[in-house]
Amino acid sequence: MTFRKTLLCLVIMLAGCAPTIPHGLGRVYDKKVYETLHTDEATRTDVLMTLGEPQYRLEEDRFFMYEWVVVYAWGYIPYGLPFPIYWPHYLCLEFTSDSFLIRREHFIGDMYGKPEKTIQKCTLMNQPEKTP
Amino acid sequence: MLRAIYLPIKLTVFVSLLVATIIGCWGTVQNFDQLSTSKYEGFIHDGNTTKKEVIDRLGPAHSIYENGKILIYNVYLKDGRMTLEGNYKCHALVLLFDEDNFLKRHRLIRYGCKNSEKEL
Repeated sequence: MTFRKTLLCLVIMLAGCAPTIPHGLGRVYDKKVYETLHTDEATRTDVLMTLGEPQYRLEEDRFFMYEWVVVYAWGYIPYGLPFPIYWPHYLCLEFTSDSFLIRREHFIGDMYGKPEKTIQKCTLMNQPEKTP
Repeated sequence: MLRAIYLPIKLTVFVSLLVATIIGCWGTVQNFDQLSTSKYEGFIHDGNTTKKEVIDRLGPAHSIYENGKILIYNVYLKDGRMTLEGNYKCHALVLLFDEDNFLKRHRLIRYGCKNSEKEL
């Protein structure tokens, strides 16, 4: 466990922690919306017209990755401000060379995690392009 | 002693719920209703507006996709107008052009711009 996570656990134990109904913080991609993007039917254009611009454009737009944050609890340091305890969520989309969506996967990162690990999972490093 | 422990927990729950209510669910990415946004869009008309007109009026796009077939602008809605400058609630104006560079389809997507998260 990293120093950051240990410190966070200690702070929570010493202070207060309120579990909450998981909710987005800031911008959120709605499951109902992105599930309308069906593989082998939706195109890159449909994706952009539905979800807007991706946070990550990977391998010359073969992969798009959208990112948002879901809060599962709020911590509280006495006499301080509450802070969100969150996990980043990612939507990974893969396209064929003729722009059709062939893969749609939802990943949940590590608590307060960075996207690099998920980018690797999303792009399945060094894999040849799939055909539809 | 018990009271000293109980109060912060009670306050935590209350503040959490309050913050979650205020911040939590107001940033879902979705399409704006086309009818309600048409007033912001001015010169942008499917089938008529050309790519050159768009670039002349709005400047270079923030992002280009599909070899220039799709242009995306980060926009803000302010005082009933769509503007390119702002610092709050950034949206994506997605413009799809046909082979003759006429606007085929466009959509305004709430919180759909790349950097929206930082600005919310």
